[in-house]
Amino acid sequence: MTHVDIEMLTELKELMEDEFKNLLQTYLDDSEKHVIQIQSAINAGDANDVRGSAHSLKGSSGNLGATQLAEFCRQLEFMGRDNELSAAQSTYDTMLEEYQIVKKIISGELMKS
Amino acid sequence: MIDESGPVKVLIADDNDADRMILNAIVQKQGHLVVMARDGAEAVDKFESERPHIVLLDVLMPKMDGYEAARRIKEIAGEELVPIIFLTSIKDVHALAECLDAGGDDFMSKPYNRVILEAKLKAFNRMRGMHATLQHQRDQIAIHNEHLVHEQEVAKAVFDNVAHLGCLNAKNIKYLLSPLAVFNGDVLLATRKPSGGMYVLLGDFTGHGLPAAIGAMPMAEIFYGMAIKGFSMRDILREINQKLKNILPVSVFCCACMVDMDFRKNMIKVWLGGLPDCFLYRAESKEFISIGSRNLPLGVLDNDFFKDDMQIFEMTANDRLYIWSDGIHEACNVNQEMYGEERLVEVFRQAEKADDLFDSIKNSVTEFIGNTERSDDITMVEVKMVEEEYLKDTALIFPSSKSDGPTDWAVSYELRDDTLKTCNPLPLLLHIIMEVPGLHPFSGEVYTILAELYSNALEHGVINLKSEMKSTPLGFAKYYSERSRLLRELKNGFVRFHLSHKPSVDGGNLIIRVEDSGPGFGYDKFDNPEKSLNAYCGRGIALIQELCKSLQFVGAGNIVEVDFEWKQ
Amino acid sequence: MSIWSQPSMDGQELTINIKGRFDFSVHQEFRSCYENVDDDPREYVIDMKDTTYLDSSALGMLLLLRDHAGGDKSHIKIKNCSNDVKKILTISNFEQLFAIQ
Repeated sequence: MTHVDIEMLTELKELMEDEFKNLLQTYLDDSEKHVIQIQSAINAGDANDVRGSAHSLKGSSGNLGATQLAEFCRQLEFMGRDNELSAAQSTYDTMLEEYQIVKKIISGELMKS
Repeated sequence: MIDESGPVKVLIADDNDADRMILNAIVQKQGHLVVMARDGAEAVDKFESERPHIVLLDVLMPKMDGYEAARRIKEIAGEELVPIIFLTSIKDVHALAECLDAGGDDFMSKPYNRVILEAKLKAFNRMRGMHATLQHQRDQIAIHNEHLVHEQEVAKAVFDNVAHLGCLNAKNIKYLLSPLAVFNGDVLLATRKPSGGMYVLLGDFTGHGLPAAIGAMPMAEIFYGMAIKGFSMRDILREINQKLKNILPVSVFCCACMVDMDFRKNMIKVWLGGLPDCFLYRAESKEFISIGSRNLPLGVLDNDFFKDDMQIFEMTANDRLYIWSDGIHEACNVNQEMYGEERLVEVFRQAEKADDLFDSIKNSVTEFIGNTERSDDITMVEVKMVEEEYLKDTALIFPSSKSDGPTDWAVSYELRDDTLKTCNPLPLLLHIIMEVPGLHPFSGEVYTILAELYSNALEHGVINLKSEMKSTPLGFAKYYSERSRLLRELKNGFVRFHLSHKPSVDGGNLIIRVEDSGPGFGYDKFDNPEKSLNAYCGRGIALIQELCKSLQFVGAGNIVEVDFEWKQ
Repeated sequence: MSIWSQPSMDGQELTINIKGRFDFSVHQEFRSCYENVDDDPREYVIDMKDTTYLDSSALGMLLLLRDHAGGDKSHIKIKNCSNDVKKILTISNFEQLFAIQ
C-alpha cells in the first residue's frame, strides 16, 4: 500500500510550478498543528473540535495524495460529528503512525525540489 | 447584460491553507480572477466587497460554516444568479442535502480534479449568462407590459370621455358589458333623442386590443354628436359607415345593430349588419320574433353602396328587444362546445316573466360556460318599450347656451323633390333656431314640434297618405312601405318652412309656419282635439297643441302655423 | 400547412384551400398564398371544404383579398362551405361581396 500517491504529487508539481515548495511547506506546518489540535480535543472531549481539525487535515492530505491518512482523518471527523469519541484515541494513534510516514515522504519531496 | 467571455471572478473560501493554494492555482490557470477567504465570515465580507461571479465554499470552516455563508451570499445576490459550489465529499448524504438546502448549486470533492472543476466553472458561467439574458428579457417584457397597460388605461379614459354611458342607465335598459369591453372590440351606446325617443347602438369591431378600440371613438363621437342635433338613424349610420370606411384598414370593420325607439308611436326601427339575429319579445303573448341581419357591417363599403335597410316594428308597452354580439353564441364550455342560438331560443321558449328574461339569459350562459370570469366577454342589451314619461330622469341634456345671439329674425326654407327624398332638414333648422340665446332648454320641445309638423306635411300633405292606415299592425307595415314608394316617385312636391322669432322681456315667440304641396284637408275636425286624442292617428297634432300657445290651419289645410311661446 | 393555393393551368384562376380553423393565427399564411403568385389571376376560388371554423378576423382577411383582387371589380367565389361557416358569412351579408356557393 502506498502512503502517498506519487503520480498525484507529480501532477500537483506541474500545476503549482514555483509554488510547489511553498505548498509542501504549508502542508507540513498546517498538518503538524492539526495533529496536535486533534489530540488535545480528544483529551478535552471536545467532539466539535475533533471534527473540525480532522476535516481540515483530511482535505489537504487527500489533495496531496495521502489517501490512507485522509481516510483515518475521515473516521475521526465522523466520530466528532456523531459525538462518539470512545474509539477516537485508538484511531488517532493509527492515524498518527500514518502521519509520521507521510510527513517523512513529503519532507523528502521538499528537500528534492 | 453579462459578458460570458470576459474573465470570471471566483471566490474561494477554505480554512485550509494548502487546499486554498491548490484551488487558487487551478482557477488562475484557467484565466479566471481569484478572491480568497479563510472562513465563512470573511467569505461573506469578500462577496459583498468584490462581487465575485462564482463561489467555491468549504463546508466546515471556523467563525461561520459554509451553509450559513451560502445563505447570506444568496441573500445579498438577490435576483442575480451566483452559483455556489460546495467543496465537500459527495459520500455524505446528509451534508449534501444541507448544502442544497442552503442554496448550493453543485459539489466538488477532494482531491480536486482540474478537468472537472474547469468544466463546472464553464457550465456555470454559461448558465449565469443565460440567467441574466432571461432576466433582462423578463424585465423588458414587464416594462412593455406596464407600458401597454398604461396606454390602455389612457385610451380607456379617452374613450370613456368620448363614449360615456349615454343613457345606458335609463330605466328601460338592462345590459351586460365588460368594463374593458372596448378592448375586445365591443361598444354599447345609448342616447335620448331631442324628440324624446332613444337610440341604442351595439357594435362589435373585428380584432381586439387597441386596433379594435380605435374605431370605437369616432363611432361614439358621431353617434352622440349627431343624435343631439336631431339627425335620423339613417344619417347617423351613413356618417359612421363612411368614417369607419375612411379611417380603418380594409380588414377591420364593425358588425352592428342600431335601434331607433319611438315611445310615442310605440314603434322601433332596427338596422342590423353582421350581428347575430336580435330577438323581439312580446310580453303579453310570450311570443318572440327573430330579426335577421340584412346589411353588411359598418365600414366595409363606401356610402355609395351602403344599404340602410331598416326593419320597422310596432311594440306595445313592456315588449322588449334583445341585441347581442356573438360573444353569447360563441361562449364555450369546458368541452369547447359553443352555446349557440338553439340554447338561446330555448331560454326564450321557457320564459315565464318578461322581467326575468334578461337574467335568465345571463344565468343560462354563465352556467353553460361554468366559469364566471369568462362571462366578462359577453355584450348584451335589453331595451323595453315604455311610456315616455317613465324615462324623464334620463331626458337629453343640452349644453348650456350662449348669452348673445340673434333674437329678432325670420327665415324661409323650401325643400323640393330631391331634397324631400333624401334629406332630413330638421338638424339644420334646429341649429338655426337654437342660436337664440336662452332657447336651448326648450330644444326638445322645439324639435318635437318641427318633427311633427314636417312629417305631417310630408306624409299627409306632399304624398297624401292617410294616417288611419296605421291603426292595425298590418296597415302599420304597409304604411311605411307605401311611404317609401311614394317618396321615390315624387314629382313637383315641396315643403316650405317659414320661421320667425320675436324676443319678449323674459323669452320670446317662435312662429313656425309650414306649407306643403298637398291638397290640404278638412281641418275642422281638429277643432275638438279630444275626439282625436285616443286615435292611433292625429296624436302628433294634439301633442303640438299641448306644447304651443296656438295652432291654426290656413288655406286648404295645407298650411299650418304655430306659436311657441317660451320664458326663461 | 393549413392554407395553400393552386393556380389553374392558364394562371387565370387561383384556388385557395383552407384547412381547419380560419382565424387570425393564419393571416400571414393566407396573405402570402395570394400575394406570392406569379400570374395575376382574374378569378379567385376559396375552397372551404376543410374549413371548420371562421371568425370575424377571417372575414377581415377575406376583405383584404377582395381589395387585392380589385375591390368592387373583383371576382371571388367561396365554395364548399359547411353550414356553420355559411351562417357566419350570411349573418355578415358577405354574399353581397362574394359569390358564395
